[in-house]
Order: sequence, then structure tokens, then C-alpha cells
Amino acid sequence: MEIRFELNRKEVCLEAPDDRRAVDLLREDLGLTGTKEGCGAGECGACTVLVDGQSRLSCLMTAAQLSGKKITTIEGLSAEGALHPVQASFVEKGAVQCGFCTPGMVLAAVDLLSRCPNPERPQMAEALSGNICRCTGYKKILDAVAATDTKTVTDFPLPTKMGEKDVPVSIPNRTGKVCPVFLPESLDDLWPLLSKHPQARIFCGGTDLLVWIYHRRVRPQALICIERIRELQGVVKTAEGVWIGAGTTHDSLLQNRTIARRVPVLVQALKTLGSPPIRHMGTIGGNLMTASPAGDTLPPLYILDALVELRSARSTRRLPLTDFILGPGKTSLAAGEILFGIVVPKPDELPLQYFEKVGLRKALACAVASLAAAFKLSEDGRIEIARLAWGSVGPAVLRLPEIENALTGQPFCQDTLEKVIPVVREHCSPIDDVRASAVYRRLVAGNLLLRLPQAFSFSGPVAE
Amino acid sequence: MKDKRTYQVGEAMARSDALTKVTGEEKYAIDGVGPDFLWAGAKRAGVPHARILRIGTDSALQVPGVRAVLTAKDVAGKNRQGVIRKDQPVLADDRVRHCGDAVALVVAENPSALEEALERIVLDLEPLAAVFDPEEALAEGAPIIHPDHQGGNALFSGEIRNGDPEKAFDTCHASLAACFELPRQAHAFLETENGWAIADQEGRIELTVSTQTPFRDRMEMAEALGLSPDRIRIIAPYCGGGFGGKDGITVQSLLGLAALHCPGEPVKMWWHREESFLAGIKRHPARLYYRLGATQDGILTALSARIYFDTGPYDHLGSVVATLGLEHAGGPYRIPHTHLQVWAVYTNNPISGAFRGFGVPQVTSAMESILDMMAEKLNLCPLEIRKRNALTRGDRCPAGVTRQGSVGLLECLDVLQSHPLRKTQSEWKASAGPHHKRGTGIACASHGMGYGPTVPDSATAGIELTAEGKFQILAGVVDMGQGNIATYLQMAGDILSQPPENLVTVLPDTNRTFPCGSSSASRTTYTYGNALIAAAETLKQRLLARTADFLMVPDTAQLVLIPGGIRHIASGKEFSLARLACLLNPKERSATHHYRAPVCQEVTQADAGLRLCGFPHLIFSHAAHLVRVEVDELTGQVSAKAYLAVSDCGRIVNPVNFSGQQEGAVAQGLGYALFEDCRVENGQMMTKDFTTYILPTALDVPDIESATVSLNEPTGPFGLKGAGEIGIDIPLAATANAVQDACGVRFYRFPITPERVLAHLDK
Repeated sequence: MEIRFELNRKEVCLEAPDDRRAVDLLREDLGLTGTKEGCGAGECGACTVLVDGQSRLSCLMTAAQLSGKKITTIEGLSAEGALHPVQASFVEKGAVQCGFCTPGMVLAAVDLLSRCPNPERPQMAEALSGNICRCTGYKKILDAVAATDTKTVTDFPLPTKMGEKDVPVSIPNRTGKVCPVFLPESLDDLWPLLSKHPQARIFCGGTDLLVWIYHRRVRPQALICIERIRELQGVVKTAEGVWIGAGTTHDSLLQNRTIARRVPVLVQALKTLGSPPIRHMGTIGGNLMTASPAGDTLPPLYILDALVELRSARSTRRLPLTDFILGPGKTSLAAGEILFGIVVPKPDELPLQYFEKVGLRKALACAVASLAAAFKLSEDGRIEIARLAWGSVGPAVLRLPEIENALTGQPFCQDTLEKVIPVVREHCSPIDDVRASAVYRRLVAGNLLLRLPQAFSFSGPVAE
Repeated sequence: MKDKRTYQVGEAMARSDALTKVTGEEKYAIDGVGPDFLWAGAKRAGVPHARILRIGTDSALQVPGVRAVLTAKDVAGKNRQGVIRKDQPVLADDRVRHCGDAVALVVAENPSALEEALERIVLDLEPLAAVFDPEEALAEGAPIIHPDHQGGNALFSGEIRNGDPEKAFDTCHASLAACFELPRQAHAFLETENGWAIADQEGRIELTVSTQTPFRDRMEMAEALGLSPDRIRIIAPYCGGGFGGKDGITVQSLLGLAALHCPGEPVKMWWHREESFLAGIKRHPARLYYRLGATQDGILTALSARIYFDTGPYDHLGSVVATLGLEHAGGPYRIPHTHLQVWAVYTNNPISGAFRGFGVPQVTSAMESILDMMAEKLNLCPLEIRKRNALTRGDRCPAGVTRQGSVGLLECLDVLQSHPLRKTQSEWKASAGPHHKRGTGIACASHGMGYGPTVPDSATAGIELTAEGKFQILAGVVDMGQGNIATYLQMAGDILSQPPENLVTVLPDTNRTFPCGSSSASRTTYTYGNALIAAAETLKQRLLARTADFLMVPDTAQLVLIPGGIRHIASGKEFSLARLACLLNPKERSATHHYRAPVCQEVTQADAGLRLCGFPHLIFSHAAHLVRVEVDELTGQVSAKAYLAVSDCGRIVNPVNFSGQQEGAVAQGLGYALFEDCRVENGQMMTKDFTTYILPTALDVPDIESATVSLNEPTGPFGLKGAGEIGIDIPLAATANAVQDACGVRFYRFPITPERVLAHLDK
């Protein structure tokens, strides 16, 4: 297809296979080898580029998704002789060793400083947590970000030319079959595509699907990318609660005030999801459609009794999220339907909300167990409402109404929680895998309850 | 941005290579890309041990775009590669010995055709009994992996005895025994194994490859493929990480074979992450049985150690790793009575080989753990027991060799002792919040530098005044990221009083630079640095002498080098280097120097096999580390919260590069302690990506402080000693000791995963 986009502030228009990975297009076809590839699965950040100023992973983007975007690669950051202030700081502070993570790391830092000119050190570490460095131990990288003169970042004149190399107009298709990638921008555009390509895989973010495709675990005949559909974007306060468009990215949700105020448990979960570039790309709808018991947004939405809104060309229907997700990778989405939105009814009735994920590290972690909790307590410290959901402890997210009921009316304290732990463990049916054993997951699923008194820092009277 | 300052040794100057790396201009091997490139890929065995009956290639050959499908039959040479024992086939011939063995090689016009063809190759394999545990592999009746090897599955074994350990154990006040298990760590460099090659019609091959060992690779490739070494040129750009994982052949021979079959066309081979996990080498997993004896005062008297390294199916550098482990088994302490034994054992697991630390992290983990256990038993503070036993110059180490050269361990311990992290460790311990425990741990190590007494640890440096009046340094030893080449420029720039812009480098290239050995063994800056100093001094004296002639001054005493020229101090007259260059015969404008590192002359009782594999070393770096941890009792998660590394690596040429090496090594060591474990079940790699093989992110590594005691090493270039490895020897042991301090749990199996912690706490 013809792909028109802005590359390092230069308009380019080229003919390329739709499904070519953006990283291959940049590196192999356009010769911009400053963008590196370290894992091909979104787990290292070496291929980071800026898309409309935001860090994204070019190994998890098709060429088609570049269209209409402003792309900045490391080559577009500095012109002959004049380093971008972040680059200058990296050189000065000794933040470069082998240098293979450096382009991605620099771009991630540019992204951070453009949004947040004076970050604290933990914020810097958080912002760079999607970029693995195997050489430096990160200290000098954080030193470099801290030492960057942020005023010069905003004032720095980015070079206007892309470099000597002329962009070819046509990228030969050397791989035979091309899987077409469609990018509808409205529902009206989508429905005819769906009926014309019933076998197409739909994606919205692609942080899972494109990994599977690259590793030849799935081989779709066509791809429909719905992340640009206007109607799927945003958060709306409604009479019944909060509506979230399925195509809203994790990062947009984290920036959203309504979500921050009314659904803090979702915010806590989103903060642990993947890494900054993954959150720039991935969407809440995509997370639900993957239907993994380790999906970070699932336990919060389960305790909030969220509903999903499904649409097809002809109809709209709603059903509880718990009925929608049938098992790992399985949903009750019908042919011709898409996940349109998520409804969170009356989150305000649950004033105390908490999410904790236990992963194998502090970022880029898949949950080996997680807990979402929402409580309402009486003034004398009794539990009026308790809702609990566990991730990664069974084939689906686990909610236990009998435990919620048993807790209701009890004093909110360590003893009460300890009493239900054995029952929780009994109901868990986790798997043994390379990340953790079933025994561990079961132990932790119970233990996490003991964090709640501290998490809710409840200091009121506890009923006897 | 050009740094105008003249290079000076000791100054924290920006690295010369940082500029091109930070802009993305630097071309790594992986950046050889183009529309005309062919792609080569290997069919991997997929089973751990089998006899090859047939390799069906017909269907693969029919895939459009496939140029060649090659098997062992197409390898003209010995089809064996390796550094010490040449036991690894380029393409498996009679049998496969681990799942990652390359069985066939496909060359295709694009990656999809390559993948398709690889999937279509049919392997007809007859399974053989396999063995996955090193001790089982040594037992009677175990399946033999290399029937042609005299020692059965023992690739290598070594033994050192000093004093009378049996009697010492009988008479000591306290003794302790424990068994430790260390995991298989992946280098996980971001640039996976790769390269590209082009052959001409006469069969000459030029390879650009991500390697630490271009000159040795050329010899190995030549022998394996049946070529004369002068037919092979290897160019080694900066590596996107190495850490030992590119110390030896990865893609080289396969690429050479592919290129020979498609002359005139560039061929690329790039192991994707999964293939790197499967077929690339790893740190040796190890099982170590330790027994330590001491007096009531905590004076160490006896040590016995039996150490098993799982080397996988091929030597790689297994025997040398085992020997270095044996030499360091007793740590940097005086222990008069020792019995140390080591085995490097063939198994059908993935291949083990060189990895930063090279056997020392494994033994340090055991020694420093059992030493803390002894301190606890004797009610001594961990710092005190180390100070009472620390080696000083002239002492014999546990392997029985006199410690010569600078020995700064006690100085390191003094710095550690007076540091706030140490002084406030009880406040730290008492400050843990609900469901958390906090603790502090320390550990020490020494690390020998260089190849040891037998294999020449040498380098030939070249430096040349170019026609433009700049200095060009021929650096024949690879920079895999550690900054050795920038350090060379700083040394030469200091000697010649030049700023960065007047110095240029030629990166390792078997046609353009001189053999300099490998980028490994903490010897890269030491050995080449010494060669370079001599070459630069020679050239400097020659340039001054010629200038004295041109300026008609009586001698060189009044001449000094200044940036871009030479000044006659008495008259103020200047002579530019560019002018000098065009007046000199090009042959006079360059100097070379060959340097061979000194070796330990002490003859111990140890057998000749150990000497051949590098025992003993002469020069050692030392370090003492401290880590603060926090343990979450609900989840078992351990976080490192603060870290101090105090090092004796001689004088420091560039403080920023130096601390960068220590910080990076510590982060890698913390990964080894807490997260990193290539899980292998029945020979199959279970952790094949970065979602299951866990590397520390920016959120997982604490602030790391690097301090130094800058003793002078008289033989070192500008007084330095090796600094690249010692930092990774210690973090695991320090962390284990800190976890014990925090929650009273002693770890014997690593890494210290949340699961293992919780299992202990739950008891």
C-alpha cells in the first residue's frame, strides 16, 4: 500500500508491504539503523521510536500504522555537530557503554522530558523501565536524564532534514504473500471491512498479536487495526457510571482525571502494566480481548462489576465482563462483532480500592498473582461491602462471592482477613509454569489480603 | 560537540565512542543491511541427544527463494571448532548433543523463505539416552557424550592440595559444610549473535561479525572449513554487548559456509532472541560442596571444596573456566590447609562457556556464604572475620600461590567499614515497615587477570601519524562496550598531548590491525595498554627527534608535544604535526610494539593440566561490596535498596568509565542473585524470551556507589589492574548474606526468587 508519513520532519510517501514491521522498514529499507532490535517482542525497548512525540516500539508496529504519523528516530534528533541536550548529557555523564540500548533510551528520555520537564528520580526510572540496558546498571543513564537542561529540550531546534539518504519511493515486497492491514477511522468504515474480510484478525494496540505473528504462532490472512476508530476513544461520565472506549490506550486512561478520581484501582493496575511504550500502544479493549487471567486490567474490572458493550453492524449488546470472558484467549464475541466499550457502573460506591501485582520484577512483568480489592467500611470499622478478584490464579480471574459475603459485617482487621485466607487458597486453581509454581501462586493469593489494612491505612475504630 | 581538552589520564572524560553511539551513527555488525542481502539460518536439532539417520532437505530446496540447503557433508574442513578441545561441529554430522545443535544451514533470499525452508527440513533422528546432571554424568554407566574423549564425560578435572586438610579439620574448633547450586545465567546482550559475510569467486571470505575474538575466530574457522587463514578476513565493529558470550565462534563458521556457497552476494545471519537462548553459550551452572574449618577466633584453617561445572556438550572454554574457579575457590583469604577439586562435565544441556567472572562468581557465592555462616557460628561480625583472614602481599592464597603485586583487600574493607551504609545498618534493619524485613550483607573477592602462565597474554599495538597530522591507533582488541578503546585513546592522547579530535581509531580487523588476543579475562586494557604506551612513546621520541632536526635545535629536551604540533620551548617556535607528517617517509610515521604480560613463576604442586588452563595468575584485583535489601514477607520479593562497591583495581585511568564498569557488573550480579535463571528441563530451554528470562529494569537496580582504593600496580599501564569482571563476582553472595541478615534464611540455591523466599518463610 501507499504509506504517507512524516519521518524526522520530512514528508515521505512510499509503496511498501502493509505488514512489514516498522522496525524492518526503518532499518533495512530506509537505512535508519540507529533504531535497534533486541528482542522482537516489545520486551527490551531497543527499537523505540517517537510516534507523534510518544515512545512506541517499532517491532510491534506494521508499516501501515506509520501512515499519517510523525515519526522521529534517533537520526532525527540531532543535526551535524549539534547534539540534542539529552544526547549531550548521555555523552557527558558516561551513560553510554555498548550503546545498543542508547537510541531507544535517549528517545524514551526525550519523551519523558517533553511531558514532564522536572521529573524526580523515581519518575525517571519509571519512564525508562521499558528500556533494558545490560551494561550500565542504569545509574549513569538516570544521572544523564537528571542533568539534562530541560529548558534547552523545549528550545532545541530539531533538524529539518532527514539526512543525506533519499527515501526510496517503493519498498520491494521480497516476502511473497502480503497480509493486508486495514486502518478504518470510523465504525462506518469498519463494518464493510468486517463483512468483506471475515477471516481478518482485529487488533487494537497489537502488543500481543504482533508478537504472535512475528513468531509465526498465528498467520492471519488480513489484519484490521481498529485503534484509529474515533468512536472507540475516550472516557465518558454517564448517569450509570463511567464509559471507557475499548480503543483507549492504557496511557490515556492513566492521564484521565475521571478515571483517576473515580476508578483508582484501575489506575493502580495500569501503572503496573507492561512498560511506558507498551502503555502508549496497548488498549484496554485489547487487554480484555486477549482474555488472559494475567491481564492486568481484568481483576479491577471484575470487582467493579464492569459490563462490556459489543457492537456489530446491526446491533449493540451488553453483558457482564464475567460472562464475556470464557477462558484463556476465549470470549463470547460473535462473528461480525467488536468490543466497543466498557461500562463501570457506580464506582463511587466503593471508596477503598487497591490493586497489587506480584510479578518477577518491578516493570515489564507478567502477573504471577494479583489482587484487586474494593471495600466500603462503616464508621465503626465494619466491612459493608467487600469485593475481591485475583488474577493469574486460575484459568480466569477469580471472584469469590462467598468470601465477599462472609466478610460483610465483620470488623476490618488482620484477624478477619486471616480467617478467609485458607478458603481463598482452596478456591485457587493456578498452573505451574516457568514463572511460578501453583503452590506459590496459591500462597501469595492469600497473603495479599494481609496488605489491605496497610493499603487502606484504616485508622478508625475497629468493631469488636 | 567536540571536546577540545587534551586527553589526560585520570580525568573523567567523555568516551570517544559515545558520540556516534548516541546519534545512532555507529555501525554494529547487525547494521549490515541491504536489499541484496541473502539470509542464512540454522536448523536446530530440537532434541538433546540422538544419532542422525537422515536429514531430508528436498522439500526445503523447493521453497521459492531458497539458494542452498547445506549439511555436514558440505563442510570441507575438520568440521570441528573450539578453543581448547575442538569438539563442536559447525553442522552436526553423526549425532546431536544438545537441542541447539545446528544440523543444517539454509541460505535464502529473504527471511520468510528462510523460515519456511527451515520448517520443511525433516530430521530423522534416533534418540540416545541423555544426561543432564553433571554428577550423574560422571557416574558409572552414564551415557557418553563424546566417545572419542579419554576422560568420558569429565571434560576436565583438577585438584589442588595444600598442607594437611584432613588433620586440620580434625583439630579445628569449628567446621561447617554446605552445598550450593548456582544457576545458568544468560549474557542477554541486546545485540544477539550475528554477522554478515561475502565471498569472492576464489573463495576468499570477508566477515563483519559481532565477536570478542576476531583473530582466534579466523584460525578456528579456517580449520573447521578447510581454508587457509589468509583467505578469511574478519572485521569486528563495536559489539552491542558481549560479556563473554561472543568469546569464540557463534555465527562465524556457518556464515562462512553460507557465503562460500553464494559467492559475490552478501549473506547475513542473525540469531533472534529465542535462538540466542537456545544455541548461544551461558554461564556454567555449578554445584559446589564446601567445608570450612576455623579456630575459635575465626582464623580460617581448612577448606575443602568439590566443584562441578556443567559445561554442556562442548568444551567451549569449560576447562579454563573450571580452572579459574578452582584457583579462586577459597576467596581472598589465608587458608593454609586446603583440598580443592573441580570438574567440568559434559552433559546434554545447552552449552556453557565464557561469561564475565569466568567461574569466579560461582565459587565466590559459595565461599562468601559459608564464611558468613562461620562468622555467625562463632558469633563474629562478618566484616571482622574477613579482616582477620584477608590476604596481604606475600601471603599464600588458598590455592597455595604467593600473592604478589598490589593487594588492596584490607583497604577496601576499611573504606566499607567507615561508610554510612555500614555504620547505620542497625537503623536500616530496624526501619522495616509492616510485612517487611531489612538487612545488610557484605562479601569480598579477588579476581586474577589475564591468561595465566602458558597461553601468551600478548598484544601488538600500532600507532601512526597520518598525513593530516592526526594519530591513528590500530586497536586489534574488540570493544564490546566496556570502553577499552576510549581508554586507549586517553592513554595515547595523554602521552602525545592531543585532544580527542586528533586521535582516530582503526577497529579490529584481521587485515588492518595486529593480533591482540581476546577482549576478555580482565586483560584487555592492561595488555594492550602496555603495548600502546610503548608504541606511543617510541613514535613520540621519533617525532621529537625529527623535529629537532628540522628546527635545527641540538636535542629533543626543549621540545614538547602540544595539540596538533610540537613546540620548541626556548624559542616558542612551533612545528605542526601535519607539516611533520608530510616531511616524513610514511614508514617512519608509524610505530608498533608487542607486549607480553608477565606470568607467575611459582611452581606449585598443581598438575600440568591446570597450568595449561591458566593456573596460577600473577596479578589480582580485589573488592568488598555491601548491599541493603528489603524482603516482602507476603510475597517473598527481595529488593536491593542500596549498594556499595569498593574496589582495588589499581590506578584509575578514567573514573567515569571505571565506575560505569562496576555499576554495570553489579546490576548484572544482582540479576544473577535475584532473577536470572535459564531454566532447562530435559535439555530443553524453558526460558526463551525476556518475559520468562528476567533482566533487571531501571526500577529493579538500586543506586550503586562505586568507591576505589587506588593502589599502584607497578606492572600496569599507568598503574591499573583489570576492572571488567570483579564487580560481578560478589553481588550474589552479598545479597544472600543480606537476606540472611534480614529474615534469618540462608540460601543455598539461586537465584533468590520470591517463590524460594516465601517457601522458607512459610516453614
